[in-house]
Amino acid sequence: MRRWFIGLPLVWLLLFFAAPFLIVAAISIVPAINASPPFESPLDPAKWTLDSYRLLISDDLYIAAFGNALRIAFTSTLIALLIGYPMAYAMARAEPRRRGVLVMLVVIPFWTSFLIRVYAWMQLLQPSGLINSALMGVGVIAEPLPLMANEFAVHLGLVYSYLPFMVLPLYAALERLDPALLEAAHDLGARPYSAFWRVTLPLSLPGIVAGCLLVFIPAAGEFIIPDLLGGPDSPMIGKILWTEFFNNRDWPTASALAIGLLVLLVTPILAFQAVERKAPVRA
Amino acid sequence: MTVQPLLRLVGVSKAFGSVTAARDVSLDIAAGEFFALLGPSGCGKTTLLRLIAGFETPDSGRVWLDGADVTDVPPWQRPVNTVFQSYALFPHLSVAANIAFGLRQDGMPKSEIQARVAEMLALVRLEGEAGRKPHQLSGGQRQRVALARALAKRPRALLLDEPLAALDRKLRDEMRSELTALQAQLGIAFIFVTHDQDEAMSLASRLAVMRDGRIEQIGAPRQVYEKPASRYVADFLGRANLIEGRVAGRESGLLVIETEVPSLRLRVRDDPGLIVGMAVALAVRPENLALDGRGQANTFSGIVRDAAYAGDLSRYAVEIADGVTLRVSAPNRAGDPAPRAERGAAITLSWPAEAGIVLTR
Repeated sequence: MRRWFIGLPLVWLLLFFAAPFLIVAAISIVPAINASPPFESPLDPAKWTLDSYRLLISDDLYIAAFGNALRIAFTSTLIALLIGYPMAYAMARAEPRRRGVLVMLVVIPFWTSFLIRVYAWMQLLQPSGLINSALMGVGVIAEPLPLMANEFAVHLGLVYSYLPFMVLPLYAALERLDPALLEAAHDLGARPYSAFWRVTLPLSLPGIVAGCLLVFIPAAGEFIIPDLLGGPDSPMIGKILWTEFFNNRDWPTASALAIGLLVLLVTPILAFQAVERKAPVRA
Repeated sequence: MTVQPLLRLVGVSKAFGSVTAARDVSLDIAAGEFFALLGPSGCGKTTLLRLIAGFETPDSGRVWLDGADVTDVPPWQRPVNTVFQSYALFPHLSVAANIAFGLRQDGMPKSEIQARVAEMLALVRLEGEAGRKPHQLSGGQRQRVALARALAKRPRALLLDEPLAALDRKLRDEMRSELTALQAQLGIAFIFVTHDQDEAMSLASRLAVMRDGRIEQIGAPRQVYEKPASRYVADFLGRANLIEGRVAGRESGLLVIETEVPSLRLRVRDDPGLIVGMAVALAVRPENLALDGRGQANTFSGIVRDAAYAGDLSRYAVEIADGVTLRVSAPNRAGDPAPRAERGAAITLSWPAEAGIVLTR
């Protein structure tokens, strides 16, 4: 019985992670053809080729899309950290009986569909949207502000959507920080600012790393937000992948893009694990 | 006391909501004293320590340190350091970095920090553990790191919050003698908070017994034990049999106290301050009662209601009148029959006049 319970997650992983991954990896190493399915059989080793990957690193479009995705994900993560840390700090310092309510408030947006919330932002940001018409109504501006179809809107959408993933691990790390440690720092001569840098910040580092990964990874591969809120100027890789798959029906190139993204994103996870192993902060 | 005390609390009060943790506390502590704040949990002793450290500011009253009013000085500017009950070692820093924390904060040159850390490690005998993290240490070692970290800045006073509470018994005895030796060696004031009267008496050169935010009595342990100022102190510091009564008069140089039981008239050494008719309580320590004494000022026949053997001594409960049962403790020596009185036995209980302590509060 116990072996069965332990085996269950393994079966889950094999079925829903390893198998799809292998299928995508297999499609990425065969040429595309005009047929159904639109690629050569990966079971025939004679057809194997790295052409899709060669295309990936030779075409500026893909490199730029990867670059945009990483850059936008990076700045969004940074903004989320700068907003999320004070939020998590205030939550962790709140009265214990109020903390549950505050955590609830952070989680509440998840009760509404992600897609609906992004549409709501479109209603707010578009030229005839709530913000622009309100500003024009009171006469602050004459022309609608370009709030949509640009990187500003993508950043806004990403930070808005993924902020809870930043706040929750930070809150968990800060909440279990023993207040006596800060008193000890004060007692030894550290002013509040210095105690923060020397005690609070290093002890919340695991929370910072976890929060940044939880925001950065989905943000880098995000499709819906750049598709709905972004413009044509800086396409992200998720959008390109979607185009290759559904518009161009080039499954091998789309698969190679997916594998490339995976490799790019697995790297920070491995880095995180290395940090965790090096600094076992909690006894 | 010296001319100028190291620490002076003047009329300090502090309340948390509806709970008053300190009520008009005034207290002088001299440099070099080993001072204990003793009391049950919730009596305000920890609040007093936190007021001295600067973690709390009093609602009224002043705190003086070294001749300067520090009432509004934050903890990072006070020349005292604290050993926390939980030790509060920084889990992300090594033993050496924990000890160096306060020194680095002061911007001490690196070479001096290294020398001071080495000195502190030697002081608490942890030379080999400099590079380890707190979670790799035993409870006793963590305690020593906390001590070394607090002493590294050479504070004018070391504050200790229940320093021995988290240690097991054997370690506690060891640490107790180490603290005594350390205090004698360093010569700075140690001020510690404890709920354990044995700890307070064996460590402190002076102690304050606290109750409900007030200091009931201050004095040397022996002085407070032998001359408790109130029923509360008599009962909290050590054990005491308390018998309520009133002053009846004087007989052959002794004071006579009558109780509700007519046959129970108690004799104690006279004190001119006591007036006939005054309501008092007589406190008698269990070790001052004898099961076989005769010819003492107080001699009563009684029945042994309980007898318990506890190794070095035996404890008895002896009923000497209806509803008056006294606790007796008597040392056991090799060869003595133990217990020396069986449950239900009729014995004679006695104590000399000078064993009785008359309490008016």
